[in-house]
Amino acid sequence: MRDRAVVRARVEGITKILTIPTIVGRITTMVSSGTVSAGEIADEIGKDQILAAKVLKLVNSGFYGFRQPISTITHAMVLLGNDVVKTLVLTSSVLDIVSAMNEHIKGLWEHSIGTARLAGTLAQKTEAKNPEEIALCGLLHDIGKVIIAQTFPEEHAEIRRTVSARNCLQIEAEQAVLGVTHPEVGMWLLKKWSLPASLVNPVAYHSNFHPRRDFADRTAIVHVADILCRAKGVGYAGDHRIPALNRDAWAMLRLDMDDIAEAMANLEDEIRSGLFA
Amino acid sequence: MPRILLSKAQPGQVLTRPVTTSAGVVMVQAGSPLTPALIERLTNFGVDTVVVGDDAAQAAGDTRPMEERVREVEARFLGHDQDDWMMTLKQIVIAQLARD
Ligand SMILES: [Fe+2]
Repeated sequence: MRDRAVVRARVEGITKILTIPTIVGRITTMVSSGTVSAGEIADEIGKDQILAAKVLKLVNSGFYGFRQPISTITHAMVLLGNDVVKTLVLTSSVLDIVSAMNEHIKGLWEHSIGTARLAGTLAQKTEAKNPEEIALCGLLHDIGKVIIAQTFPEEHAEIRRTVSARNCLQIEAEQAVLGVTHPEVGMWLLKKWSLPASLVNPVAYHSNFHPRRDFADRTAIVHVADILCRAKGVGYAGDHRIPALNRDAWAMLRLDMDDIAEAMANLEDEIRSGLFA
Repeated sequence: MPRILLSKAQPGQVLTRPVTTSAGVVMVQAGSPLTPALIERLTNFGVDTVVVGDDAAQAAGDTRPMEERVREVEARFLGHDQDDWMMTLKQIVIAQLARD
């Protein structure tokens, strides 16, 4: 199973089943076009009552910490803007898909949510644009691990054995067993979903940072958030190790260790008040 | 540490066991104080019983001895001894263990 083309074809086979709803794609396109009014977008979301309910539940959950309760999609659009609502629509459908994560790796869901929250916090601290979208990148960063488990159950079992035998990072075991790694597999899936590079790149390069790639700033945030989440022992990313910090990524954030201590204390408070509920 | 019906739980009581889904996934960690909002959320989620205590100190999220928890953190940082940034991060993690 070391032929990359074969691996990719099999991943793309499964991505035919693992799809985001067409309405999500339609809304994303409407918002990106910039020519559609907020009212029309709200109407489109309202056509799918389950989706509308999920988006409102997400808005009012502890996940983002928006202050006042938001009761309608129109209200959300006025208060948060079209782009944030678009991200929320996407996030709510991604949450449905990734909530199945723990079937394969127990604790991966908590690792993903924890990384998403930390990424959102770091995004705010660095005053990055679209912190909600950066949190979504954190939520998605390890989705390739789920795809590997679903698509290659035998190799996945071998990866698990390799991790325990060597006490190595899962990504090292993936390389040894499968010849491709979860960031790349995740990238194939997200490209198949036609997501933009602003979401794909941080997932694709969170373990292989380079400051001159597009969207390096948010990739750096996801890279550091992943390390913090593992350091704190929140959830389980498939191994008991912590990847090395990329210095260029850290330099790009322009933060200090007090910011890091604060972000981690915040995460703990959020977990206690029911982040995983 | 009694397991009680969620409908009998009072805000201010502290979970002494985590609330988990039927698949064993932790939804709320032990040590979390019950608030009206959390009780409502758990009710909506179909949780029917919880294990609570009144004493926040004895309801610590992780009841293992501190030395054991520190050892676990040390093990996590294996291979990063020469990296100052990582060692600072480790100190932050260990300092925050004491907050439980
Ligand atoms: Fe990863």
